[in-house]
Amino acid sequence: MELAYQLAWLIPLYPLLAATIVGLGLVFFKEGMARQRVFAAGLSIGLIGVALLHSLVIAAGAFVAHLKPFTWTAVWAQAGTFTLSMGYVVDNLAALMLVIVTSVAFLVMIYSHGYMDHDPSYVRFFAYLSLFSSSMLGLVISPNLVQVYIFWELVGMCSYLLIGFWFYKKGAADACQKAFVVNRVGDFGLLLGILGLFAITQSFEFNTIAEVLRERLTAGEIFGGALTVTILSILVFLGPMSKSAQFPLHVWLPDAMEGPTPISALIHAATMVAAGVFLTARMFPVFVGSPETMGFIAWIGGITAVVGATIALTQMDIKKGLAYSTMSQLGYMILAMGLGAYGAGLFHLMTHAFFKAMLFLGSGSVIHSMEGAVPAKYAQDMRAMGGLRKFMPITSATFFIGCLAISGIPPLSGFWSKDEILAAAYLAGVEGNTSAILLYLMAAATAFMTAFYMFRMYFMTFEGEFRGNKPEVLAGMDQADAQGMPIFAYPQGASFGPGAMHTAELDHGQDGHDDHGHGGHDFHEPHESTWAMTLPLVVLAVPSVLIGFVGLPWANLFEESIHPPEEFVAHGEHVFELNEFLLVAGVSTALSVIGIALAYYLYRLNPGLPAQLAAKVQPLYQFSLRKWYMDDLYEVLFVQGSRTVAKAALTNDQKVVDGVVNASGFATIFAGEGLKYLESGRAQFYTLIVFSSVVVLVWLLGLL
Amino acid sequence: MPIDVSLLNVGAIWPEIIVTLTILTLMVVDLIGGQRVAKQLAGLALLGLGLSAVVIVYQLLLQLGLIGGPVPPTESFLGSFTGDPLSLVFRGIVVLSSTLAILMAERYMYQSGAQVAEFYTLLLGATLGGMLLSGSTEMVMIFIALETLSISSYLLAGYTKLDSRSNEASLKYLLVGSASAAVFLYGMSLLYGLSGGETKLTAIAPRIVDMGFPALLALVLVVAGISFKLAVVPFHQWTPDVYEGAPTPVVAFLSVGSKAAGFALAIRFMTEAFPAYTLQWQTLFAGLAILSMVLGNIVAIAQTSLKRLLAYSSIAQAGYLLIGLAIGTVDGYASLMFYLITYLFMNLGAFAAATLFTLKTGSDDISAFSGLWRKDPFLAVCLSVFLLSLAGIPPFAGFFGKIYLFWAAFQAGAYTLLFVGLVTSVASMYYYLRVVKPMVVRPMSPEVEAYPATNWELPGMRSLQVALGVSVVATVIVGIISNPIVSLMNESIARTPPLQTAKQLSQK
Repeated sequence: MELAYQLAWLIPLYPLLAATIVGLGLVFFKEGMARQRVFAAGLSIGLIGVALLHSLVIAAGAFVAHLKPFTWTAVWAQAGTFTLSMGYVVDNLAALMLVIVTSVAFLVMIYSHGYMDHDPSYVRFFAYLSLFSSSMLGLVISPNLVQVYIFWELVGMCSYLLIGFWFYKKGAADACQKAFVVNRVGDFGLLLGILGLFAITQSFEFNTIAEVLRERLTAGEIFGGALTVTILSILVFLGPMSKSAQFPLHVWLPDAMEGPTPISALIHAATMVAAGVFLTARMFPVFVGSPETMGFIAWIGGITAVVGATIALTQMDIKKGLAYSTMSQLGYMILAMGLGAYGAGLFHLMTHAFFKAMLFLGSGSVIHSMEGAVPAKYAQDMRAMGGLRKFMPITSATFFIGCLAISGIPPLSGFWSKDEILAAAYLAGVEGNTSAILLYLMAAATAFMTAFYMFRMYFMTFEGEFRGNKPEVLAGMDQADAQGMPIFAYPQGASFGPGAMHTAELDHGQDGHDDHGHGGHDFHEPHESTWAMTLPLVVLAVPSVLIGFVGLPWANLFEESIHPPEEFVAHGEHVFELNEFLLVAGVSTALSVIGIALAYYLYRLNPGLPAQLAAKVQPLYQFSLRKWYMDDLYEVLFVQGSRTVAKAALTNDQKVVDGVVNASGFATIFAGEGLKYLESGRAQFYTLIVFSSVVVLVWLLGLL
Repeated sequence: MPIDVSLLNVGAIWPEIIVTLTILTLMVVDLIGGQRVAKQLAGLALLGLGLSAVVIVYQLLLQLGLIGGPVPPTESFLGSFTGDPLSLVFRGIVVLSSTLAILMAERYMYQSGAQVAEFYTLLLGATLGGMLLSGSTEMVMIFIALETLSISSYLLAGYTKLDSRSNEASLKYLLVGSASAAVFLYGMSLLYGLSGGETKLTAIAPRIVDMGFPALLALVLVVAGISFKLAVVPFHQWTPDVYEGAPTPVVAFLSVGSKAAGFALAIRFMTEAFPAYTLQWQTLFAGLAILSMVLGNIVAIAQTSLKRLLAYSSIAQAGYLLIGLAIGTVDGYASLMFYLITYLFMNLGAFAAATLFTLKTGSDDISAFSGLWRKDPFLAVCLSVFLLSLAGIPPFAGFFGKIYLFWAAFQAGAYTLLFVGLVTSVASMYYYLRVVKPMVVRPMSPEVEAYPATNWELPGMRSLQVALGVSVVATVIVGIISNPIVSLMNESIARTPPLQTAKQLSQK
């Protein structure tokens, strides 16, 4: 096992090897390589499998054999007193992340084999997937902030490539740019923070920064004192905020769902978005030293959880719904970090990675089967689904487990991890932290909303009758979208409003036939996906159910292994109290059950009711549907604002700068052309210049 | 006067002895074997150079104390030659550039139908001259070494006898070279007189302190002579004509090997003979550096032939290298040497790529490279890497080389040099990218349309492939592992006595 530790640097290299071979193949033998599907997939899956095994050995070393953390660094660049080291570190946190990343990536790659089967760019997809896995694995074993930043940017780039995988679709092209630009905002903050911290501490190492920062702060050597530290910490935290889609930098994540679904599962649910939480954990020793920063982090997390959950309530697109749910859950993790509940945040990261990957892959399975059953633009719309349980039993069963897990129903994994975060907030509140009480209430409300919108999703998708083959439903959806009220009472038994669909049906008389006539496309019934897609679902269901048991509140194996470096946090042994556990867990479970019951009531028993309710609270409904108007606000503030600035700059550029550039370019070319003629080609002229230069140089030196 | 042979310390010139023996063997083998062994001669020359390189590396490691205890360098041949780490590094660079030039030349010679044996003999002769020049510490020795290098170079430049441009290049090179040699010789004769009959550089230094104008005159004459070898403005005018006319592998050697020897000579002559005039020679070289950077980069913009463009680019690159000399700090010398190593690979690589392209299309017009990416991605990628590295774009070696040079200049407070260096590097991107861009985005030129598929099995093509491959790998890797190389250079300078005394003198 020590050997596995020392060879940990190989883990990012396995997928990198696959990415290099497949990528170079694509560059040099375009079509030839694009046909090597089995080779590309086999190589990628095989090598990530090797990485998974290696990670499991390391995890065994870390959690079973309790090996000491292993760090290896080498000086990479040196200039004067400045040294920059590169290397790798394997500690318990890295071991945990390695297992999460490799296992999810492994399953997602198998799944992709089925999901991307019809795609002509199948091989390119695997090259990107391997490159992403490599960058992400490099990130988790980085021993210092510079290396973290390098891999941070690499995963950002891979995310950009994969969101825009179908770059010929406008939505995908826009979404990848949006993701990239929003992430730049956070990354810039991160870079400033890293440089600022380096200026004070002369170090990029996580622990050294914290140590030196604390020493110099107590010694009063820092300009601006604690305020400077807080500002720098928050700047660093801007990185995690953008990567983990925290309010108000979350706007890119839902749009990122334009990418292929396996990507949504791997990158935008399980691993990359968790990188923010991971970096927060790595920087924990630094953040802990600044209470204001911790408060800021907690509030950002809490707000994100609520915002994500409220928006998820009204989404009709199954992937968008899951995306907002991801955002909300990431909020939980960040909230935990901010409350100092380091272990709880990482515990939720782990459980969430498994069940959210499963949910996303399940939604992919649904979309994949819907694509054959309805016109492409309805394939992700839950209003066109319904009753899919009959057609896809495995997908629906695993999705159901995922819904239970995320809703926090005991004893599934999500219950234990979410409960720990709620308990942390509650305890902090009880101990006199007033804002923590508010945060607890927000988190509890989020738990309620989570249960509601997840089961709303489940009922709309899998229960009832299949609606995708009913022309009146599809027409009604178009009409409802046009009115800006996508929610509508789809016809279902008695709840068919009298005359409600009358015009829609008339419309459809023409539309429906047009669709079929011109499409020339026979839609068949939804069907269960192939084994390559269902197998990962089934495999992921196991940890989604069971993994919570490593973190039982009364025998918390997880937190014993994963805790921040001892010296920075008084590792207060929290004694387990049954009453307190029953109170917090009882409340959250009750809220979840109420949420599920409400979803059942609204979407199974009275399917017409949601539309009426939405019409009654129109402004609130629109507020949620329009995502708190954040996108519109940004459109006005930043997009239009920067357009205005850009236009002014363009005018300046064309009128002033171009003039200068053209003039200098002209002068240079003119000088070049002119000086060229000094090259007369005559040797006697050359020698003349040699001799005259000597004379001039002597004369010049004589003046010195 | 009887001389004890053991005092001569002949061991220091083992690398040169090996090269000399190789030259002799080549001639004998050629005389006996004739045409039948023509194909094996390149291998023989490479073997000799390889052995020589091994000895150089061994001696360097020995002196730096990396194997066994550090061995202090000793003078050999009664003070006319030294095998100190400084000379070893430069001799290594000369040998390496000669090796790569031979790899490039094999196919070129085959296709041009010229005699190969004499070519390798002359190239090794030039190499020998360059190596001796890097270690010479005495004026007679310096001049002999310089002329060995120069005369071999003149002959090599005119080696393709049937090509009138090659003849023109050779003649011009000879004429301007002789004039410069005369200037250089005049400077040295002045020093001989001023110092009262000393020829050893270190012996001259104390005798010309406070001498004023006569010593300055000698300084300028010596600098002018060396500048001819470095091809810096205004002693550069032979460069484009020679580079255009001479066979490409020869140009590759001239642009790196010959230049490296020139820099070794410059560092040694200035630090050993003119420590009392440090301010003056630094000012001189700073001025020449600025002129070279500005003029080289500007005129390169107007070129239409890749070889002429590379000629002006090498003038500009010599300007960057001079920064390291002009600031005269330990970091300056170390970064000069490091940049020379990166320059070795990227410049020789660019010439290797040009050789391959010219062999296949018969043209080296920049416009002929359009659309090369579609016909020969390997060559297009290689050439792009070399040119981007020359332009100083990360992550290639040239970027790191420039970083170290500019950083050294910044620390030495040479802001004018730094500023000119930065501005002209930006300007240089224009003409390098003017080659790279059409290769990738423009439609194919007629030459590329008719481009034959590359057959690496043809005689001599393997060697060219190796030269390209080694250069491209080194250009990518050297930057990333720059730190150990730079510390090796620093160590080499720390163990070179004259540079240490120079530093102390200049500090006073």
